[in-house]
Amino acid sequence: MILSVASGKGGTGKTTVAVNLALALGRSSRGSGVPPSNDGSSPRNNGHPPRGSGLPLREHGQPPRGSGLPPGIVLVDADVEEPNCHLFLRPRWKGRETITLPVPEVDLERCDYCGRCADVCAYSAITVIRDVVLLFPELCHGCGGCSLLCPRGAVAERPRPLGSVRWGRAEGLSFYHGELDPGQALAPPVTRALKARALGARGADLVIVDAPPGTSCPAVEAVRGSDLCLLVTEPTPFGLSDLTLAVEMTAKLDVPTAVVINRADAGDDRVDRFCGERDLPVLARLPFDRRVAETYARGRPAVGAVPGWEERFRELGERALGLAAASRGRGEKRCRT
Amino acid sequence: MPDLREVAIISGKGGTGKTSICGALAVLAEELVIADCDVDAANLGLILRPSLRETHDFTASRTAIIDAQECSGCGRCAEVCRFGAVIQAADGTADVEPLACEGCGVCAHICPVGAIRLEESLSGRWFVSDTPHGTLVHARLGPGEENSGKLVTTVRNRAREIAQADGKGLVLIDGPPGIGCPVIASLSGVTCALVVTEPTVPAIHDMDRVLAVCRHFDVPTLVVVNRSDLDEGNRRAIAARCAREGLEVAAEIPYDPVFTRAMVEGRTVVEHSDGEVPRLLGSLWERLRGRLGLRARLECGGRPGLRGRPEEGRPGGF
Ligand code: SF4
Ligand code: SF4
Ligand code: SF4
Ligand code: SF4
Repeated sequence: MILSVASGKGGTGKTTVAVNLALALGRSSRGSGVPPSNDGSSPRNNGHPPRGSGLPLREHGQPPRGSGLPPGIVLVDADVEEPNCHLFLRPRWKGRETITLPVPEVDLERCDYCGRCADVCAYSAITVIRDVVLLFPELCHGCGGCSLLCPRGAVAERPRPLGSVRWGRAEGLSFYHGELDPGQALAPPVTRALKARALGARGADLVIVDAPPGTSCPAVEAVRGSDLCLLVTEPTPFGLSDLTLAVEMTAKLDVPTAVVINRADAGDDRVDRFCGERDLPVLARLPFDRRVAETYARGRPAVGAVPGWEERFRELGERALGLAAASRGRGEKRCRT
Repeated sequence: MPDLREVAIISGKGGTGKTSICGALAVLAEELVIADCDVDAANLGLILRPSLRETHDFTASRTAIIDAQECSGCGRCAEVCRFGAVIQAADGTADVEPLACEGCGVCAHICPVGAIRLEESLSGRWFVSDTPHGTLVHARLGPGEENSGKLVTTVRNRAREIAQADGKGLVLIDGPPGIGCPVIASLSGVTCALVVTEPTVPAIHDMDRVLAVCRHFDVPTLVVVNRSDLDEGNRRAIAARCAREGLEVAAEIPYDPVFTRAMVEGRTVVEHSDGEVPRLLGSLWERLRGRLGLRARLECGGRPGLRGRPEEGRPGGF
């Protein structure tokens, strides 16, 4: 089961929701014996070999086998331009991997300056001027076209670092974190690598993805393939405008969508009306709470710090899982194959 | 060369009040062109009351399209596509998932029967609007589209042209959140950047990353602390950080629901009321103006004093 948490606009409380949701569900699955989801579904990656990390997901807080509890909650911080979840979770890091993009390197001994590579490159990352081959690695998308199509086999590829993926554990959760290096432009390759690692983790029963703000390629990369996307918004004109775009994005991706209204007591009722018109379920209305804002400012999650918020997020989580399970059933019926 | 100034307002983290502050500065600055480069979430228009003057299509991205009649099902395209955009059906025929396709064209080059072509797709639109405070160039990237950096560059270029044609000395850029390609496109070559942050652990973390980008591209930077009374310890941490790096904290603005009230009304905060927040924004603008004017005097030998009447036929003013 994959739940993504996104928002058209930054600063609506997306990270707060993702982190606290993971914590609240993690606590309830360990503590109370009430499973947050009873759909018994297996994760999407089920049956695939675990990829990459070898992270021991079940070492802590492992519920007894056969209890029906979802043991593995994985939180993925896919806001790779400005990742924040780790600030709240303070995980014990277990590993790190540099994420690279294959960029071309030309062997001038072999090159005859035919210019084919420059014709092929859709991003103007290679230019051939008479007997000079100019490379602009920062423009390269790593498509592999130049090396594949160079008639003289003169193009090799070298890895260019873009960022990193780290993983660790915190509060009984597995945690994956992606980070674009400052000065680098291309976030999606880091997001792709991050998701591949996290979804391939052993025992990833529930994956919660904190997506970047916006609706362009980095957000799409993070939300793609989720069973449910929670769009966090505020009841303000900016919030509504950005929610409208975010809903268009999830519709295009064919991802079932629900809304969380944060700071629900400020602004006006336009967001509520919009959700009513579009039949978008509003799963929670979170009031402004000065204590939550203060714990946030200090980099602490609300769950476990401010009374009442663990219950709020658990309830939100249970509703989201219920909805995801239901829409997943629908999705399988209309599945292409 | 006219001494045009470009100021980018960015934040790293979203939701710090960047757009509200940008709107207020636009009202205060008067002689300017405004470029809304947050092309994912262009919100400046919601508080500047624009009336649309021009609409343009933005077609920077391409998508591969496979002709099912021609396709022999050899599977080469799926092999070479590094973005997992080609899906092969059980009978072998290939299809492209448009949202995953990056338009690199490698599949089209490799297809042995020429069944694949690349089609330009409409990835967004950009607009020129009139507002009571100056011309606004803004854009809207289609959901899920790439090339936000190129769209930002398009918006900035047009804003610059209009400023030069109309003799305005300033382009004010409302930049996107994050540090990736649209942010880099918003920052490249600006006179200075204004980084809006707030005294929270996440916002400071994000400010650090966006400051690293500014350093990387050698952009002079000022810092504005919004909601400065949220946490005193963090506020001091920001001040200390800026002092260490030689960055000016150009304003500290306390939390005030007047920002939200103004937004609900569809106005900037300086038009909405005249309390403490507008006063602080006024002095922020004076400092920014001074900073830009000082640079102009040093570099171009121009006159100080931003509101000086531009000379005949020559854009300027500072
Ligand atoms: S395609 Fe190969 S041989 Fe031709 S210019 Fe490029 S690198 Fe040189
Ligand atoms: S790998 Fe692709 S994007 Fe990079 S230089 Fe080669 S053709 Fe251009
Ligand atoms: S390479 Fe061409 S012929 Fe082969 S599967 Fe792809 S589209 Fe069909
Ligand atoms: S154009 Fe590039 S990304 Fe798109 S399907 Fe072809 S190979 Fe894949």
